[in-house]
Amino acid sequence: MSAHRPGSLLAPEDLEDAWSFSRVEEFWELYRPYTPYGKDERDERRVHADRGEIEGLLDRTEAAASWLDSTRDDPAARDRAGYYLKRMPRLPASAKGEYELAEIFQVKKFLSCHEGLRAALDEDTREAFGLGPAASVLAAELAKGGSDPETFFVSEAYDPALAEVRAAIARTDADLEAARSSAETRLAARYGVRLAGRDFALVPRAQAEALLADRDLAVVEPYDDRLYLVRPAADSRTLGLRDRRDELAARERKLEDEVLRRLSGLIAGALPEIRSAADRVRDFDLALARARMVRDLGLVRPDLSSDGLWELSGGRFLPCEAECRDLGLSYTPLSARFEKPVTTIFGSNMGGKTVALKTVLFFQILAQAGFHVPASSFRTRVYARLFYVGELAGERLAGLSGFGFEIHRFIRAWEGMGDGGCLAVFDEFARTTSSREAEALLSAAQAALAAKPGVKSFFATHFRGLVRSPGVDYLRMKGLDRKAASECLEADAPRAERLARINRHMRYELEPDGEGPGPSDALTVAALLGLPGEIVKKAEEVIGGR
Amino acid sequence: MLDRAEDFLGRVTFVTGPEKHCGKTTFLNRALALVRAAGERPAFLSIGYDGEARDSLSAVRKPAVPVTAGDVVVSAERFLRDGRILPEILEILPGSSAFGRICAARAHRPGRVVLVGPEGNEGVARALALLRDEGAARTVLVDGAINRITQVAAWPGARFVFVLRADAASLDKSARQARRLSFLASLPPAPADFGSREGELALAGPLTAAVAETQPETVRAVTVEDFTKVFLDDGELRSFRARRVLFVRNPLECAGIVAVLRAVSRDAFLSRLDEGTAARIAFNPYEVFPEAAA
Repeated sequence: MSAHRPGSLLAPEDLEDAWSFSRVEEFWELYRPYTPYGKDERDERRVHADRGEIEGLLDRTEAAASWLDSTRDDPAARDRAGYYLKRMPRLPASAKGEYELAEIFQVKKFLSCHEGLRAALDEDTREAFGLGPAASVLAAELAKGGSDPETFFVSEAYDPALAEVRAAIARTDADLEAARSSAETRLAARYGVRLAGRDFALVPRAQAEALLADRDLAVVEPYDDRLYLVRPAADSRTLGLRDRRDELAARERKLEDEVLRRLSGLIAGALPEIRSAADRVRDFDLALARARMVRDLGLVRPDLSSDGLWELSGGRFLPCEAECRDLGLSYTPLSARFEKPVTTIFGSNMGGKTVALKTVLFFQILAQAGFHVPASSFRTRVYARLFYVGELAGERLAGLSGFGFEIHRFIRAWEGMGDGGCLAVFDEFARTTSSREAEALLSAAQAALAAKPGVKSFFATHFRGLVRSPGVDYLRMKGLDRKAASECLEADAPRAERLARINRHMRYELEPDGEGPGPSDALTVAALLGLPGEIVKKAEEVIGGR
Repeated sequence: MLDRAEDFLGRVTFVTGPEKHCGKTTFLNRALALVRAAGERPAFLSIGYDGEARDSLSAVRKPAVPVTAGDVVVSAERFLRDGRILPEILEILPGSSAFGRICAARAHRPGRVVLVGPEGNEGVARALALLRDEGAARTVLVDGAINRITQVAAWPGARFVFVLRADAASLDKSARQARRLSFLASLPPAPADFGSREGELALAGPLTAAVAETQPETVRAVTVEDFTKVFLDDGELRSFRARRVLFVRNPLECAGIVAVLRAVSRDAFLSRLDEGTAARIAFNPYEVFPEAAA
């Protein structure tokens, strides 16, 4: 319904992997507009590349949130607005000479709900969303047709001739009913056959045979070997009345069609105004849905003014936070400041580096989709492209074919890094090849990406032998808090319990990573779980000797 | 039974049957007439479009459904207008049919309308919800799909009427159908704590002969979603019940079985039924026994 200039939206095919990896869909499921137009736009999953459009969305969300706050003492106003939004119908898709009855109903119902919505809002909100009166002349004309503001039929109010023909139809119907009733009465009186509202009756043969002689009163047909079907016969007067009714119905249909054509002309003339009103309703509906999320989830407005710095404070990756809650685990929000074009995150397995990458993409996509975000603050810029390169859920990249997939995805991202900036996330890139080759590839890719203007990239890897470049930030997940983990371990606790306690002492935070082998969580965990000391010691010597 | 307004008032009733031409629509007409005679204005719809041309209750060309002023009818717009009922459109149902949009409309005068309705359980549930939300009617009748009793589950508290026909050739088969349906409709609901004891099994899918055979002896009680998920013939069902108790998680209430007999006497039909099934039987409501003429 709304127009966007070419290139102002990120291409869905580029975004697909990033969307899936960052689990944005789980956030999107909480985004619940009420109107069909709002739902349609929600389902397009738009992610914008135009900062002005995003700021517009954020502004509208805040206007809707202000209105929500203003109705705190008047929940009925909120309910009324929701009621009318939920009742908004779809509108005819195109302008045409003759609309069907149902389409005219849709227009009438829309205008009625539009007016109901306007009445539920205050002046400031109406003004903020451009929700002025719409097609008032048409609305008044449509109001003539229907016993309710939201229903429609071709009433006599549209044409006095309709009143006449309908009165004639009513008289004919009454005559037909009288004729039917009279036949029914005679059937009962003469033969004891009581139809009692039935169109026909199945009568035992013996009684039905008596009726055979009374052909003016009843049609009698054999049904089976014991029953006959009996129905009132139509006499010549009844047949005449039926013909008369057919004639009147045809005349009525003609008059109705004329009314529908006239109303269709009015609708076609007002359609641009109606469409525009529907667009504004959609904008309010979407903004209100976003505003409800702002209030329910504690979201803040992202700052999109950065020229390359990516900074997040107290960022809650909601899917992970929910999982932790379900498992009874504590969740650590992410706070990070990424200044350089490339960021590398090291960490042990299950140390949280992939979650950190997901968090980066999650926030970037939400911000560019025009959402407030679950954080204390978030600063970034708008990128024309967002890429994810790595394994997707349900995938198992391994061997040469897996490596081929990785390289294919890398090339696609590399070639897509055109104007307008690009944010790319690489999870365990080159995992499918040997560590020596992977470290060489990663080092070369990072150096090349650091030299590409407008590109911001993030790598999570467990390969520590990278050649360090000046344009790359090297960070690591804090990992196991060895001291706390050691203190809480009881030597005689069951192994599963000890493992659970170790998990509780993982620190999902980022810290600068110095060169060298770095601490090994794996060896520490092995020692805490009781691996013989001489093996642990020897392994530490091997790491230290590299 | 099933020839009083009280059998339908204030309820959602699905009229179903095992095959085409079994008389569902004509029975629906009779039920509607009873409801109207009690002073209520019903709402009614069909599931999909029934191309059935003739009806077994009358054996004549199947009529469009008679409508009275004030009734709420669900059908395609073109059929509503062609029915001459002066329809006031109340709502448009989501989706579409081969005949165009499906609307709920209130009739401003009498006429006859060919019914076209939503397809599938979800569509029916949405239509019923819409009729309820709009306060359209207290009593709703649904011309159900052939052999799809499971659609009754689309609406909590709904009941179904099963219309079956029997002639000399099909008498035994029809009696068997009635017995089987009556038995299945009598299956008890599963206790709330079902599954908490040893030997209790909740089947997610249908109960077929193969499924029944593969259950270990330790399984003493089984639940299925509703009785339409039982695909055992009479013998298999007897054998199953000899060893195990069968429950349903979602009971579907049977309002009665309408037997439309042709060249078969009521006694001949009833003699083939057990007592419980016979108690559920209503006969063709169009059969009239004339009183003494004045």
